[in-house]
Amino acid sequence: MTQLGFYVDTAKCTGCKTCQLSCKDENNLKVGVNWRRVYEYGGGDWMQNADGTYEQNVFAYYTSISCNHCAQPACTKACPTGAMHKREKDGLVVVDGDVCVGCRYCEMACPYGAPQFDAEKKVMTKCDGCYDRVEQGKMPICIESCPLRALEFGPIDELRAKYGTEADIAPLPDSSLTLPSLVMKASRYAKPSGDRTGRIINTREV
Amino acid sequence: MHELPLVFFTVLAQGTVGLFLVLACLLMVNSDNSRQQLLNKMLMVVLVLLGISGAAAMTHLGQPLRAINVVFGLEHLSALSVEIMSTSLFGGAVFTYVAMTHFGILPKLQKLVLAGAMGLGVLLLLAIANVYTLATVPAWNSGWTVFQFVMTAFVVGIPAAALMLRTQSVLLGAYQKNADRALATLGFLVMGVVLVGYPLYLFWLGQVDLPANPLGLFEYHGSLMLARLALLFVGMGLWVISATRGSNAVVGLTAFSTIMVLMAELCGRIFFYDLHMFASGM
Repeated sequence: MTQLGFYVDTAKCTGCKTCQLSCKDENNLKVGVNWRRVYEYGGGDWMQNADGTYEQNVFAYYTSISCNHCAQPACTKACPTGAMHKREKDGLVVVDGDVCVGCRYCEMACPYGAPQFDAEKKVMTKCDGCYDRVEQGKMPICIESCPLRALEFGPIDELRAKYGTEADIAPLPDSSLTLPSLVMKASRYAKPSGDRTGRIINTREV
Repeated sequence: MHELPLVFFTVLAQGTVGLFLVLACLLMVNSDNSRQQLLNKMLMVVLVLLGISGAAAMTHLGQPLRAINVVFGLEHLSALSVEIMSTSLFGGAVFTYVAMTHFGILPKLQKLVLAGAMGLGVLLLLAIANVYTLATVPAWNSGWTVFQFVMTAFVVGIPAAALMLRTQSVLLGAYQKNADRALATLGFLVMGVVLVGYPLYLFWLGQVDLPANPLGLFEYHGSLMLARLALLFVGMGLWVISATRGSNAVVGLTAFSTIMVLMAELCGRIFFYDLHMFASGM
């Protein structure tokens, strides 16, 4: 089985959110339903120099996250109906909207906030890796729309061979929890997962 | 908060299991036939309460008409599927027992079914706690979740059982008075466990590594915790003190106590659901 996954370059990402919007457009998502979310992570403090003067070390960077189509997804394990399932073919984690009962337990379990409840359809929805586009040989819409070319998609083995295995960058959780199919490139200011010096700044957006 | 139906379901289901366990224990050691019939009838209340809690849980589903789909999750032992199945099996076992005693079916097997229902009740308490001990949610992923959920069964179940017995004090006579005193003693011990356990839980909560202070998430949490403790201790205390002093038949007071402890547990559960937070803060 090939496992498809994402590569996110936090050094290139400027937080423009084109990926988020193109995804909303492609999948007709309503306000409040975001299959891709751009988390703005920032912090900083005043540091005292040896001569008694002060200097700030303010930082901020963006992590564009949809669903990481984890190797051990917390959502599929939680799902009481099996509607949330991992496809044999490409390892994408997809919800079957005809089976889902809308209990929102996957939402409680997924530490990436990927499952999104659709208040009108009354079922869970989420990033499906644009599998219909991928089957036509295209890339997911978020990848193609990124003006900074900060996102990539493909077999995770190839992405890891190319970019390494980093997936523990704040504000993402410890990757050992779900084994996400995700490779991150750290920006200059990137902090490790579990960092408490910064915080997610755009909480009302994500 | 969209989890409000779950607040009602979990508290009511746990309280109902507690009530059932007390009544079932009384039935197990009982030898008087007319008393047995009366206690058996009381179990119908358990079924009604369980039905109400189940209905509350259904309102949380986006697609309640598809609820049967939760059986599919048993294949991969989804904690939620196991919880829902335990609820159904527990309800089914209590119903079977009530039906058997009502229609006089297989009298020798009745106690066995009752014992089975008791086992399923305990299993249900653990199954509900298991739903919330998620590895990705640090504030929930501990034995304190199990502790709190089991304590709700005691805290609500004991005064509720005393209330049910008091409504039949004329028929039950001295038996009811003795049972009431015994339950009050048990209630007193439970208050002691709560008095030690809840502050320890809050201490533990304060040192969990989280992106935000779990004790300062919402403005109303301070008053909610205070209300919970006040409701719990006043509710439980009124009944326990008066019962140990010899007033064992006043229905109104125990009804008041039961409602207060129920409200206390609802406050506690709202606080619990509010704590849902990932270690990452995402």
